[in-house]
Amino acid sequence: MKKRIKWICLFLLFPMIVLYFSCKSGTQNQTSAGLSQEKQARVDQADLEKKLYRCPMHPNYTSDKPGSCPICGMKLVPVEKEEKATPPAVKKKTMYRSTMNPNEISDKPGKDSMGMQMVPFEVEEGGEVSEVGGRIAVKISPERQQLIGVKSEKLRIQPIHKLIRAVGRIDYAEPNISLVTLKFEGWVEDLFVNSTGRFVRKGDRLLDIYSPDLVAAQQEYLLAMKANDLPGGSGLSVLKSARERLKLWNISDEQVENLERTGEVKKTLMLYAPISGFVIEKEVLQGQKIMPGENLFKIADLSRVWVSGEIYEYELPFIKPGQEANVSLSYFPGETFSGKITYVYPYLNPETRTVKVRIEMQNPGFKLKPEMYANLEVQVDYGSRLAIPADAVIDAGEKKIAFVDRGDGYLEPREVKLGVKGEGIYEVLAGVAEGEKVVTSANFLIDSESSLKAALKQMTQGQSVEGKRENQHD
Amino acid sequence: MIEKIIEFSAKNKYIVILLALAAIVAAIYCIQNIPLDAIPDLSDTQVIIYSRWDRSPDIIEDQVTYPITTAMLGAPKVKAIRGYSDFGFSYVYVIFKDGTDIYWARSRTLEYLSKILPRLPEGVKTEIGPDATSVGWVYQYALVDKTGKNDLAELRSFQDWYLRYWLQGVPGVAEVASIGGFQKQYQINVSPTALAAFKIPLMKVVEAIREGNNDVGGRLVEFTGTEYMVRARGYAKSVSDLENIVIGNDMKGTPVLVKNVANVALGPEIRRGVADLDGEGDTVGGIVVMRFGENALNVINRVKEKIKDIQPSLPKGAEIVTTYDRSELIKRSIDTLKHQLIEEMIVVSFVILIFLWHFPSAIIPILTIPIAVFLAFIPLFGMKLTSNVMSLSGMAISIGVLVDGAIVEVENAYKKLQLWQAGGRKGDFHEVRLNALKEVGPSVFFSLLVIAVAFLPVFTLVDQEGRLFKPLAYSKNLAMAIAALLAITLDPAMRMLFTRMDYHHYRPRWLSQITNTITVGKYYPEEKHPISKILFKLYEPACRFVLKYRKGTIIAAVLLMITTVPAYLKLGSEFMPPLNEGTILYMPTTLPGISVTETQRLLQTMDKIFKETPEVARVFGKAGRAETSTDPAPFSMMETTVVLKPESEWRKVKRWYSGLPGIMQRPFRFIWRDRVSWEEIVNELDQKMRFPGVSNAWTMPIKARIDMLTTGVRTPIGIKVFGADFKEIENIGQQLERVMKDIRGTRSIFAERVSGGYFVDFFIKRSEIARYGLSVKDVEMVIMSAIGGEPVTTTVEGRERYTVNVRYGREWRDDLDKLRRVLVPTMAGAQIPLDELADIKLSFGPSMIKDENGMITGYVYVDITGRDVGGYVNEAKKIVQEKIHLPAGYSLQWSGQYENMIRVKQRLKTVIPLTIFIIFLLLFMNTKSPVKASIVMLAVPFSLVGAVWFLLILKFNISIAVWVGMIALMGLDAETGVFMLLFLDLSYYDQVRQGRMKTFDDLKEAIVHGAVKRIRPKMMTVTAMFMGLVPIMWAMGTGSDMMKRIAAPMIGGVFTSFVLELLVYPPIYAIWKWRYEMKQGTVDVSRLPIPQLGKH
Repeated sequence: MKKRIKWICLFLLFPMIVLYFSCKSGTQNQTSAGLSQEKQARVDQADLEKKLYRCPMHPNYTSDKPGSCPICGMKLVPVEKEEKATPPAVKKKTMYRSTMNPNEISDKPGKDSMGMQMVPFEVEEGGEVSEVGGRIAVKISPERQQLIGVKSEKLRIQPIHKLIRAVGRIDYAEPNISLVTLKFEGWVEDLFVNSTGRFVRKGDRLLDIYSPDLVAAQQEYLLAMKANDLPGGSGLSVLKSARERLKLWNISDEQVENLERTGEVKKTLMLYAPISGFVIEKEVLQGQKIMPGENLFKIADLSRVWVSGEIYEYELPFIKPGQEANVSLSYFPGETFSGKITYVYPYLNPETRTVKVRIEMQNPGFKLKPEMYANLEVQVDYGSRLAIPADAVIDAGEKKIAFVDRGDGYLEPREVKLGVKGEGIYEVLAGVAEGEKVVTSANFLIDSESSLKAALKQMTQGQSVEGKRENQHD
Repeated sequence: MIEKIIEFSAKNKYIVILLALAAIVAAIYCIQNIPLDAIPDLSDTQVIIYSRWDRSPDIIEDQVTYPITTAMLGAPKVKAIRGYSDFGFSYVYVIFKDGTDIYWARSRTLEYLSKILPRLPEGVKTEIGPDATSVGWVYQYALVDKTGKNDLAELRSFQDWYLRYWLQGVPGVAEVASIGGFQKQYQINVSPTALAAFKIPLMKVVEAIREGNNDVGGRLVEFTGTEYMVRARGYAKSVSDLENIVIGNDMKGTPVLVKNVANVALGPEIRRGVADLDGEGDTVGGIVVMRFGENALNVINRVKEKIKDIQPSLPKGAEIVTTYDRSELIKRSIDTLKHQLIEEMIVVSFVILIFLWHFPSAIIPILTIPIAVFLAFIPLFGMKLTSNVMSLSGMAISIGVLVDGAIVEVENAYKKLQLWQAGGRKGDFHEVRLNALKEVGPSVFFSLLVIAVAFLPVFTLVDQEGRLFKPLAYSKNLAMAIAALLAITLDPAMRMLFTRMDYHHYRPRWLSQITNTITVGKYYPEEKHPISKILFKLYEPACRFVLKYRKGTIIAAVLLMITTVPAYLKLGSEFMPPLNEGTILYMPTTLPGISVTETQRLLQTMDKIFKETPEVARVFGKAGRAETSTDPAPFSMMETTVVLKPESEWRKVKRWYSGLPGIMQRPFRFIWRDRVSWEEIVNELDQKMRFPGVSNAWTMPIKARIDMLTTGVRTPIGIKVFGADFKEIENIGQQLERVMKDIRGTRSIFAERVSGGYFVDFFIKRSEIARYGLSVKDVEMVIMSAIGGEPVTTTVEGRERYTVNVRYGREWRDDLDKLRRVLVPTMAGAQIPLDELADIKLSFGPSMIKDENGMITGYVYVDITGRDVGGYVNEAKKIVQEKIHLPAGYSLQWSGQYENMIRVKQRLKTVIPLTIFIIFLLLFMNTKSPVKASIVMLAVPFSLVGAVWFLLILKFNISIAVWVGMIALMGLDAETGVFMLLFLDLSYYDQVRQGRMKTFDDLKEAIVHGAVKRIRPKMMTVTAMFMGLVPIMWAMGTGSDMMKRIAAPMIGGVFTSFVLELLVYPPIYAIWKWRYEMKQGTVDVSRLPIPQLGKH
């Protein structure tokens, strides 16, 4: 009987021992079988509480239990335990701020741009940061950063300027155009400048003209002169008026003197160019009868030209006379000409819905030809401000986020408030300080990592992360 | 009846053998022509309606997906309609009921689609996807040029316009999809300043280009009796042709040409997919998609043949590099299984040979195995089933059982002949032999019937499981059926062939000895048989021991059974056991919204790292979509196919025996591999691939494609939230999350989040545009063409066709400020910047919209544990109804696997008891005693002990494959149980007949006699089964994993059930007989009716 009990006890013990050992071996040998997911899915109870699992295909799905993804049925993989992303040690630093312009911050005491003493204030470097727009700080080792091509750039105060682009046209400078007309009737005897586009210098002989009126006037003048020479001197007033007449008819003093000297009535009269420039219009032909007031030539001086640009209504507030403008033409690729806005027209062209601006420019070598199309770039200077590269800013609709590189692979998301936009840079109003480094490339991956980490954190800490990234689509 | 067949076969042995030979020839034909594949196609009958239109997901949803899904509603035999709207693509999956013919389904789809097609917006290209699924991606290649003579655009053109069509023409290929490279496009980059200067609206440029590219015909003219065909040649064929198209005149009459306002260049089309080869940068790739139900191996071979043929026609310097080839896998896995089958056959043959120790008898079961396996291919071929890992596994697991019939017959004949010889050779030995065969014929049939019946539950599996395991069930049962048929036809015929009983002596003596051993053999009595002697020595003391401690033994057995419960609970679970495909598919996923450039850079960096790993032969990375409707992957999901070098080239690992000379190391390598393992490589790569913001998935090509087939909700419970606005749907989903989290049994709940699309929204200011006399359309047209760039027309250049695209030059639209300046022409001729007409905002929205049966859908996935699904759903429904108030127009639908699970459960609830009942009934018919039948059924729990523990030791998860193994085990159990009991009975009644059954000691002696003396046949059948499965466990090759999962429970189960049967049946039998039949020795047992026993 006793023996039997002994045996029964033994039989009872045996399966328990087997069970015990198999349980043990079951947990120990996990590393050997199956693909990584498979093997990692089976973890013992103790690890269960710490680990989080994520579907490798749907990173949005995280669970605190191993199993398979509800969406695709793939095995969940444990999320790699990473060192907690803690910022480097907290340092206090004294910075100085302008009392007039709070954006003007410096790390050295001194006077601000307006000449006022800057006041010191303390900033914390480091410290715990919370989530920003569903993103939290991440730690990415320098090797991995290099792998994905992370680059960062130090923020500094730099001149910000905005470029306003406009189309424009080269125009004659209005003050530099002259017309050649006659005030008397006549016939063209000799035409010296007989083609349009010819360059004339001031005083060049343009044409000879025969005019009966002019002959009569000359004769009258000679008569008056003679009468003046007579004793009694009564002819002086007549002579004066005759001379006046010739003068009003634009007969040059030289020609009048010539007439006086020779006493000979010239049949024809010479006409000279009033300014240097190009003949842009020529209305006169050899032998033509000319009526008084008729335009003979239009001469434009092209050593200076105007560029008129068309500015759209919404950009008008940025435009002021005196701004630098770069003009580029498709005719001279790679070359830019610069000038200044001299005038903003006070009215809007109803047809094009634009406002004209005028830029006066020198035209050395007459390269700029009127009626050429030009592209204008007007630089609007905002002065020196704290600037962040546009590449560093992730614009997710509501919030604008930049990742600050705090060193040691620690990247921290910050919401930034942006001011004006310059070329490839933004003005920073708040969020990052001068001297901090922001990530300028591979932002997408860092952003994803950060969002995923935030989702994980939410899993571990309950619903602490509000305003998750997924919910931002409004 | 069966006896008559046996008699007939025995008498007409030559006819039977000839017929068998003919059948074998037919089988060989079938084997050569049967479609081969790695695993069965698991996809539903589904038709994909695929539309392309470069619009954002919500626009696609509203204008394309929604109309199509609603049009498809009401089509016959449709199970579900699921729509997905992504940027530029709309997929509508029409899923038909199981068993619907794919071509019938396709024509129904077309029929219903035709209603809606004319009503879709202009520019939407809708087509029906190929008659294939992504599981049909059997071959992939890259078209590369290492000499640098062809650029990516030229290679892509060649791929698109030549190579693709050549390969698509190969029989069995449904589609060839291009990926990567640059698709050539004529890009007309308009300068808005020039347009403004010339006062030409953008639309006029578009119009002019559209009208400047056409060929027409002027019918016929006749000159001098000859007819001439009139053509007007106006196709634009080059950049300069396009440049010189006239747009209009300026005010002075000078013509304005396209080149005056735009820069015309050949450039890449907007890219929705990039490819990378070996980390060397962009490349052009192609994916050969096989038609549904084709023979993958043949298709691949034909494709390769074709590639070889066209090699000379490739552009100079270009070559085709194979990046993925499934035929390797198919060949490898089929080879593994073939190898396995042969190995098993040899092992089983040895077992038989050793146990019988008699060649003429052994040769019959040995021949039966291959013949049964061969012949099983005939019906498989007839049923159009493919030969794959599953169907071959079915055969592999049944090999040990196949021979049972033959073994029993042969053993019986052997025994009878031995008795005949021992009894002084009375009568004709032919007669004795025939009678012996006829005696067991019906039992053989019966035993095979039990096995077949036990396997029936497998046929009740539906959907993917059904598709996966039915081939296995078919091939197993067919092989069994054929084995049964052979057992009563060919086996008797063959046994009759060896007619001689005496040695025939002649010279040389060694030859005569050999021939005699082979043809005649020696008949030993049981006790003197060399194998039996050893078994007796081992088993007799054990048997006596358990008979002494009967109750203790039984209690121990019960305890052992109880231990399976915690062991079972420790097992993990998985849907499908892994099939190691030998190729890694690495699928990194980031959040949606990543740009092409960024993806391309990432892909290349990753591939470079892969390529640096010494085991990697080739890396082909793909991000975004290939040009096929079977690829719905967005940019955020990259797929990298990593082809490894042959295992022999993998890095060596130092082992303890590494110091030994080369030859001596060989045997150790089988046990301790001296190369890095697959897992180690994957782990190493996983460590290297830790990219921030990217999560890694390591899988294998076929497995991934199967996983990605859109199968809807995979958790037990899914709640579909239907409605019109995805934001509200998401909100409801989150409410559900909160409410249901606390319901008892909730394991996890997850409401899908709409995520990841970045948008630039133009909100058109109606009051502003009214002021300028513009319509919304005017503004939109400009946004579409200036920013987006509409393909205006298509050039025709020989076989090649390229789109012509008009849009603002890049420098005019690459930043938000510049978009503000896009000009909209008014009627008056003024050009107004967009900023004055619309508010421009950046926003964040859904990158993909799901649509089911015409409603926008959000899924909430619920996984439960430790609770009955039905009860859980009822409780959850009630709670949800109380706590959540749905806005009008929103509804919930409870679905998910639970419907299926309930259905399967209900089916199994009837099928399993029914199976057990049938087995019991068969047992009862055989044993004529309910008690005996019950004792036999005890084998089932006995086997579970081994099955569960063995799984635990091997660290296998519970999967359907394991269940299938368990089900197969049930049949084996019943069979072995019958054997055990039979011999006990035989011995018992033998003693009873001789009137020696009086005391407990008599009973004990009878039991020991029955159990021990006939251990050989029992041992033989079980060993055959067991040894037939064991080779599977040390198989290493491709496809062995799947088989191991099925075989493991069988091996463990057969082992423990046999051991326990040997040890536990005798005490149980003793107690039963002593207590109830012999009534502790007070009843004269010989007076009781002696039942007719089985013929063993």
